[in-house]
This record gives sequence, structure tokens and C-alpha cells, in this order.
Amino acid sequence: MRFRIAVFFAASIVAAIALTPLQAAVRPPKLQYQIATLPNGLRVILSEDHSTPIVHVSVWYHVGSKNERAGRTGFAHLFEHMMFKGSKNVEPDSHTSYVSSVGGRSNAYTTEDVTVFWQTLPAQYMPLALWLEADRMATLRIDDVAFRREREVVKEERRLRIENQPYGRLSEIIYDHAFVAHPYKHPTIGSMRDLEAASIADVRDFHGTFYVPENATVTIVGDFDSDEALRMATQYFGRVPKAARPVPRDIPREPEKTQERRAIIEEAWPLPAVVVAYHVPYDGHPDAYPLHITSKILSDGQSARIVNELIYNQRLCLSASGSGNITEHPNLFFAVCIVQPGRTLAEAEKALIAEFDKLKTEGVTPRELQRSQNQFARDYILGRESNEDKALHLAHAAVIHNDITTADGEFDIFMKTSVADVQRVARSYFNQSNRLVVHILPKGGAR
Amino acid sequence: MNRRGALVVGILGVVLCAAAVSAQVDRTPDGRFIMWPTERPPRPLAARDVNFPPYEIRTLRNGMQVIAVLHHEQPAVSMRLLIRTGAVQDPANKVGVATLTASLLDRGTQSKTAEEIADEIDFIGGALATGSGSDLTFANAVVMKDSFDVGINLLADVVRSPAFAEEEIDRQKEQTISSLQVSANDPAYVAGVLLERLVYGFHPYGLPNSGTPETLAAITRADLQEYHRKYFVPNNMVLAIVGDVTGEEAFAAADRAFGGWPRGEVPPVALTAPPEPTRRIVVIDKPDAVQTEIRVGQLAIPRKHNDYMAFDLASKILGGEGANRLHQVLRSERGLTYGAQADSEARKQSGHLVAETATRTETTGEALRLMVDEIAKLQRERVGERELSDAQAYLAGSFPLTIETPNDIATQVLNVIFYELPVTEIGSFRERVQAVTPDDIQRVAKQYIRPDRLSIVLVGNAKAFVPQLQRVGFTDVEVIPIEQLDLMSATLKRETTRVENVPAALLNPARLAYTLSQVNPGTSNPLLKRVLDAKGGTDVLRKVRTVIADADTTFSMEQGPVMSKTRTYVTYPDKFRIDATVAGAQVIQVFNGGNAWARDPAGVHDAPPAMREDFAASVRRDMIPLLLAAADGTVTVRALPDEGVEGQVLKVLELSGPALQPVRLYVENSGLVARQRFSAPGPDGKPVDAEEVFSDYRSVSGVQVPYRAVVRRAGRVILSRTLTQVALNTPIDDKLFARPQ
Repeated sequence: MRFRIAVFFAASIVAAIALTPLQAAVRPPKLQYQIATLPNGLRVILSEDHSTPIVHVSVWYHVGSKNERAGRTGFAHLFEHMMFKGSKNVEPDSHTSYVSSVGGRSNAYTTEDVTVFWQTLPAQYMPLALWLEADRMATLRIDDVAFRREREVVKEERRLRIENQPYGRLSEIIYDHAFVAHPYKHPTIGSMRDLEAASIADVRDFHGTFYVPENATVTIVGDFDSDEALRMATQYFGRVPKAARPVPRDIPREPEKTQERRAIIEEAWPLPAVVVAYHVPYDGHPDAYPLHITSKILSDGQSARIVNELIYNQRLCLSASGSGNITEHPNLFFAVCIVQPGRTLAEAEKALIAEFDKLKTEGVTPRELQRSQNQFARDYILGRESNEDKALHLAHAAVIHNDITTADGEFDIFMKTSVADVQRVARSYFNQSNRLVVHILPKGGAR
Repeated sequence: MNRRGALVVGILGVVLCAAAVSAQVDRTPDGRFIMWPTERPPRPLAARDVNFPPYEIRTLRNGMQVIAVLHHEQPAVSMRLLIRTGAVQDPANKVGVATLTASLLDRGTQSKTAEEIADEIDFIGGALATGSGSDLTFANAVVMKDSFDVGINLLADVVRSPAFAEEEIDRQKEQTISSLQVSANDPAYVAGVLLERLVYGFHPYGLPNSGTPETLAAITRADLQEYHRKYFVPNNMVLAIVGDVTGEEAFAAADRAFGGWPRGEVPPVALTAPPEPTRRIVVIDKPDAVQTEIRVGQLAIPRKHNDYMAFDLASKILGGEGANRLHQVLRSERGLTYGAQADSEARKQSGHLVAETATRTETTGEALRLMVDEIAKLQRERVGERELSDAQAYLAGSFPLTIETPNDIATQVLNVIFYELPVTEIGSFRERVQAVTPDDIQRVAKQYIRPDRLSIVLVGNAKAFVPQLQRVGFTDVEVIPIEQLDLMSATLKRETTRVENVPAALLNPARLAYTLSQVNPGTSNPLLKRVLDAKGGTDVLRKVRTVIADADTTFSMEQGPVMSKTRTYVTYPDKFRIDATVAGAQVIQVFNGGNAWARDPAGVHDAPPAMREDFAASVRRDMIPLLLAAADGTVTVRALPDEGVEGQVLKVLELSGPALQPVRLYVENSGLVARQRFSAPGPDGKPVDAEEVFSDYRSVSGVQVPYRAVVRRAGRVILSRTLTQVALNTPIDDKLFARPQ
């Protein structure tokens, strides 16, 4: 029911280990899991954790806003809302109350790549969660009145998150200017016009196309017995029929960039902002790992370069960061500075670009690399405390990488990342011809 | 593809023997055939035991409390240090000291610069965060288990020996002021802080913790040092050590890092009491907003209170997980919002109930009306067994979800320690939830919820939605442009003119604001004095014992105006009688010290309770005793911002008290009261805004009496009255106030 733009999403699934014996990072324990594929193509991932008598059940559908067609932006997320509007055995809006009435929590979110439905509940209610999810996968109710009402709810969500708060449109502005062909150009929440244009026929079509077992991954983490859980998952999901047609994957490619693009726009924001963005490769590409390291070196912690230099030393930005939004398809590495009163956008642009140039000319120090690897180890460890965290890593590996072993395996890739890798990758991508610069001025303000 | 054909054949096979199976053929939304059973949800598996994980609490010799929670799944240790001090301890006129202090803890100590601290914690792959709220300050660190000593030593250093370097203070103030500039344009933020300001007044819970540019400017390094010296003492702290350590390692490390810090006296703080709840609707105008942020709230109870559990459940029925009437009505039924919630924000000193939503400009009035009605309904009607048991099932059932991670467990223990609750409350949580009955909910709702005294904040495009508010009965609205909002001002507006003869106050805007807003007993409030003088003076007013007044009254009925002649008898303090001739019929209404009767052609009746209460309220609102009560200090007097009403700028006084619903007096320059506004029960029992407009003042035995009055309910004129004859202090036979025959 909420949507989110998965910035830094992939950053949390990778890890590092110390290169030098001086400061060996603590190695996180490996995840224990098994994975099975049912005859209808649905994947089931199971990971037992008996420390607390609860269970987390998620269903990842491999469909997000990048699967939307022109004129229907926001539809994947709007559809996510419709999944709470009842199915054959479940009354509208009852999914949530079934779960809450046993002390559980449930919700859903949509990103550019996936739509995720989840519930965390006392362990003995695992069958309820599986049953509920299977019911709506197979027999979603589609009612025009409910659809129209829910569309109003989503429009309120867009107003709340995007339009009515300072900097709410920042991401939308960046992506609109950065992309020309790939659907990452448009925000997951969509535009008001496209939401208004969506119809009940679209809902039917979307369900039949994407909400099919071969496009779904069920992940169960918590206090259960794997044999019993797999039996139940098979019982409820196994009877969902296969899709009538293959899941389409024909998504327009973004053309190579050959020259810098610049934009100046106005927004009713209290302080101006500067964005510097570069196109970077997809999650799983060999260059993605040094880019994750670069994100840490620029923005993780008070000692990170952009934080320390632009906020602390120069006092140029109220807030600033630079990191890669590394997703299933090639995306952006971007830096933002909210400019302090009395400072100029030109200064801020120059300072941000200087940080990227420094990565190319001077590279990073072994100590910085070490620090970022230790921070990865921390994220790995702290990012696996809850069942939900573990399910997220497992499902991400299975759905986005189509290789569940990457949930743990990427750790070693970071071990091998060197200062030379970081510099090489910086030289490959942080170039003027691959760059977008946006200045966002307060509305009516002097240029 | 043959797949579809094969499927259909398969299904036909099933259909032929359908009687033998419970499943049946259905169509998927996109038209495919599937076999899907009609069935109830599956039964749960065997329930598991829920055991709270082991923890231990010890107190160091210097009084510091230490909690160890052991958890060995991940090789990390987290430390959470709470200091029992926050914005509540801000010195007078220096709002922001606690927040600034907390934000500077990790910005340099006696032995390390800010950059050295950042480098140290980042390099080991740790994290350090400091901050504060109204009642507490925290410093948290998380490190991998092999860096436990480094982490706890750094934590002790930043909490015990912050440097408060001038350069860092300056940097932090600049950051805070810029952040405030952003927040001041964020409708959700503005709505939240303003609601607390209305509910808590100048109690610290009502003030912005981070301070304002003005209060921050007044804060010096010495202020921070003094605050730190007073409240940052080990006997005022709780430390939780959580994760992959043994209990002995945890306590030994705490003793090494903090044990040498001597205990200190913690000075008590004297707090302003939050004001009596009062009905107030403040609109913050942000013309470019596409949505209106709505908050509706009122004062309630603190966390440590016997009714906390029942009240919390009541608030969850209104708008929490497991129930949530607001979500049902606003989102599920009408699509007005993405979300609507209510919560009981129970803190150390006090607490409040708040309901919130955001809706598009065009549906603002509708959404507010629904929210206020739901609050009134919760107070008025008993909750159903099922609704309560759903809310209880969620709250009790979700307990194991709240003890999943090491930090979840620590939070549970820290909460009971911080609020000074018995630690057995953790173990008895589910039983205490289940023990609450509909009667308990009814009782606390009746006792604490005041639908007629809600504070209401709306942030959005005022011009577009204020007329909607009036249409749904909210007529008494203050509108403040967003750039003029000042939480430190008594009027909520930036002061453009300074108050004369208060030079000290100029130096202390917070104190000035405080002084202006507070209860001013007697005639020390200059505006009240002017009103009393204009009315005739306290001495004359005190001598008024009786009133007899004749009037021509016109009732505005749906079918048209209805004329009436009335004679009113009043004997102060608490008796009145109205004899009216309406359409040829005699009607008598009598109120006598709490009893009330009515006589009409059908006979004599005891007034129903609602009518009796309405009579009693009108006696309390009678201008002469009302002004005298204000002069005597038995009711609270507050100055509100001036308001433009129908082309005239009027000064506004609000009078309220334990038995007196807030009444606002709109005062002309002459000191005469031109209008009176209050909340009265509407035809359906729900409160509506009521207004009486006075004019044609004439002197009667030295008292100024308005000969003309127009009465409105929810913006609509219901009657107008012109006096034809008035006499004061004519003896009235007490028999007139007996039950009519």
C-alpha cells in the first residue's frame, strides 16, 4: 500500500571484508535456506529461524513501474492497491484485518522493478498468510467502484508524498531529465493524468499478465518446519494455474549518452538544490560493486567525503549525498546538495563535480576502502537481524539476480575490490558526456 | 499454444464429477478458467510459547542503571544510553538548549575533534548517533563485537566530556536554522508542531524542541555547559548493552567506561501546567498546497497512569492498527485520503490524543467533519465487543513481533525503566490488554475525551477550503499565513508591534509570549479591565441581583420567520425564567439551580438532560456573572489574536474553566462586547459553533445592555431579539422559579 523508490536498495545487500589483517571485519554468518520451484513455476524460498515464534511471508512479483506501458504510469503501484480489494474467499479490505486480528502486520510496496506483498505474524498463523496470498494471486476480485475509489486513494498518496512536501518531486525531476526512453524516466507513483486514464480493463490485463505463478517468488522466514512449510505452500499455491502466455520482458533500452545535459527549473522549495547525475550499469554488473564502494566513500557516515567536505568543512550544503541507485536495469549514480542560504548553485555544482573528478584523478585511499568494507560488513550483519531483512536479501537475490547464492556470495566480490577498481570505474562513468546537471531554484527567486 | 485448450479439457473432466470435490470452476480476472475452492481460512498450527528473552538489570555504584540483553545470532553489539533530560529541562527563554546539546555531543570532546570521532567510529564499521526529545536525550552506538571496547569508550567520552567548541556551536545553529526553514514549509511538520502547541500551550511539550532562530540566537556556550553539568550525571542515565556479549562482559565494560563518573544532584524543574482544553481551530494558509494536513487533538494522560491501557485501546479503536474507524470511514468508504490514524501520545509529564489525516483541498471540510464526528462518537457510544476484541487481538497477538531483534528487546526494557513502571509489566502485557472491557473503554472515553474542546489544525490552501469548513459547522476559524506562524508567540503570529512597558520581555520573547498567554486573574489583563469598565465597572456589576427584560424575538424557521414576545426573569446567580408567546401559544421555561422545566400547551415537562445542560451553560455564559468570574480569577482568561470580522478588527478574549465551556468575547475599541462565540450542541447532539452578535448598547442603571442580539448556530441565524424594556434589581418573587403549574 505504500510505494517506494528503491534508492540505495541494492547497496544493503552487498558486503565487504577487510583486506588487511590490521582490522579484519567480522564476517557475518551465512544465511541458511532452501529453494524449490513448483510445477506451475512459482518459486518458494524457506529459511528457518527459531529465535522468536514468528514468521515472515513475502510474495515478490517481478513487475514494477518499469513494466508499465506509455500512458499508464503508476499502474503497477495502483494495481498493488487493488490486491487488497478482495478475492474469492476474502472480502474487500479483509486481508489486512485477517492478519491484524491474529497480531500480525501486513503491507505491500512497489518499486521500479518489483511489487512486494508481505506479512509478519505469530508463527502458528503461517498457513493463513499462505492461503491469503494464494487466494488473491488466483482469484482477485475486480470491481469498478472499488477501483475508482482506490484510484482516489493513490492520488492522495501522490499528493502526500510527492507534491505537497518540500523536495518531494526531487527524484521525479532527476529521472525525468536523465532518461529519454527507458521507463525509469517516470516515477513509480505515476502521473495524475495517467492514473486518471487507467481503467478496469487494465486491471484485468495486468493481473493476467504479471500476477502469475512463474512471475512470483514466495519467501518464508521464521519459526517453522521447512518440510511442513513447503507442503503448505504447495497446497495453496500449487493449485494456481500457469499463465496463459509468457511474462513479457520487452522494455525499451536507454540510448548511450554522448553529451552533457543541463536543466534549470523552479520549484516552490525553501532552499535551492543542485543535482549531478551519471548513468551507471545494472545491479550484478561487475562495475556495480566498485560503485557501491564509491557510494560509501562519498556518503556513509560523518567522515565520508561529501558529508565531511560539503556539509562540514565548506558549510555549503544543508544536506548532501552521492550514491548509486543500482537496480535491475542501468540506472543513475547521483549527488544532491541542498544549498545553504547565501551560497550559490554554481559553487555547489563545482564542489560536487570536484568530488567526482577527485575519484578519477586521485582515486581513494586504502584506508577509505577499508572503512567502506567494514561498513558493508556492518550493513550485512545489522541488515539480517529480522526475518523480514533476511527475506528481503534472499528474495532480491533470487528475483533480481536470478541467483539466490548472491545473497551471500557478493560478500567475496567486495573482498576482491581494490582501490584500482574504484578508480577505473570512476573513470568509466563519471564523465561529462555521461552527466546530467540540474539546478532547482526557488519559485520566483532570482537566478 | 495448446495449453489453454488442455486446461479447459481438464476442467471439464473435473466438472463432470463436481459433486465429488469441494472445488469449483472460476474465471480469473483476465478470463482464464481455474478450479478454486470456496473455503474458510486454514486453522492455525499449534501455538508456540512466547518467552521474553533473558536480560539483567544492575545499578552501578554511581547510580547509573545498566541493562544487559544477550543475543548471539549476529556478531554485533549495540549500546543505547538514555539520559533523563530533554526539552522539558530547557532553561526559560532558551528553548533549544537540550536539542543543541544533544547534537553537539559527538562534535568534539576534551580529547578528540569532531572529525576524529567521525573517523574513529566510521572506520571500525560502527555507527554513533545522538539526539533528544522532550523528556530524554540519547546516545546510541553500534559496533561489531570485536570493537565493543572502542565503542563503549567512545560513547562514554562523547556523553561525559563534550567540548562545545564555539565553531561547532555556530555550525550546528546554522544547520538547525536552515533545517527549520525547510520544515516551516512542510505542511505535515507544521501541522504536527502547531497541534502540540495548541494542546500544551507553553508547557515545554507545546514548544518546538529545536528552538527557533530567535531562541537559538540567545543560547551561549555557557548555557550548554551549565545544562550538561546539571543533568548529565550517571544517576540520571540508563544504559542498555545489547547483543553478542556475556552479561559479565557487559557490566564490566559499563563499569570501566562509566563507573568513575561521580554522581550529582539532579535539580527538579518547575513546569507550566498545560492549559485547560479549549476549542480552537487554526488554519495555516499555504496557498500552493494541493492537500490539507489535518490534526485534531486534545490533552489526555501521561504514560504512567492507571488508565493508560484502556485509553490506548480506545485510541486504537479510533485510529490504530487492528481497528481504525478513521481509516475505515475516510479511506475505505470514501477514498478521501491515503491514511488516517489516531494515537495516544503518552509522555512522561502528560499526554495527548491526536487524530491525523491529509486530504485534497476540495474534501477538507468533509474529512474534518468526519474526524470530529468519530471522536464525538467514541466519547458518546459504547464500543462493540467485537471491535474491542479485534483491537485487543492485534495488540496482544503482536507482542512476539515486538521482541524479535536485540534492539526490539532492549526497547521493551528501556521503556519500563524510563517511565518508572514495574518491570513485571513486560511479562503481564498480554493479560493486561485482554483484561480491558467495553465498560473500561466507555469510562475512559467519557472521562478524558472532550469533543467540544478539540484543538484543530489545518494546513493548506485556506481560501479554497475555509468556506467548506463553514458549511459543515466550523465557523470559528483563525487563519494565519504560513510565513507569519510563530510558535513562540501568544498569538501564534510574528509580532510586528512590540508591547509597551515590558522592556525586560523584549529581551526574552519566550517569556513575553508566556506572560501574555497565561491566566491573568483579576483585572490585571488590560483588555478584560476595559471590558469590565465599559460594561459598567465591577462595583456596579456586583450589585446587579435581578433582571427583568421584555423583548420581541424573531425565530428563523424553515417555513419562515416566527414572531414571539418574551419576558425574561433572572435572579443571580442561577435562576431564570422565560415566558414566551409563540404563535398564540404560551410557553414557559424555568431553570433553577440545576433543575429545569418547560410548560407548553401539552403540559409541564421536566427538561431533558440535554436541554437542562444547555440552560446551565447559558447561565454560565451570562455576561455579568461571566465577567465577574473573570475579574475574580475563577475562570481562565486568555488573549487571542485580533480578528477581522465583517470588516471590523476586534480584540478577542477567551474565558474558560472547569465548568465553563470556552467562550470567546469579541471586543470593540470601546470595550463593549460585540460578539460572543462558543460551542453548543446542535440538533443531533454534536457540537456546532454558536455565535451571538450584540449591538445597540444602552445604559440601564449604569450597566450597558445590548438591546439587539442575533443568535447563530453553525453559521445560520436562528433568532434575533430586540429588547423593549429592561429593569435591574426589581425584586422577583422566588415562586416564579418553581416548577410551573
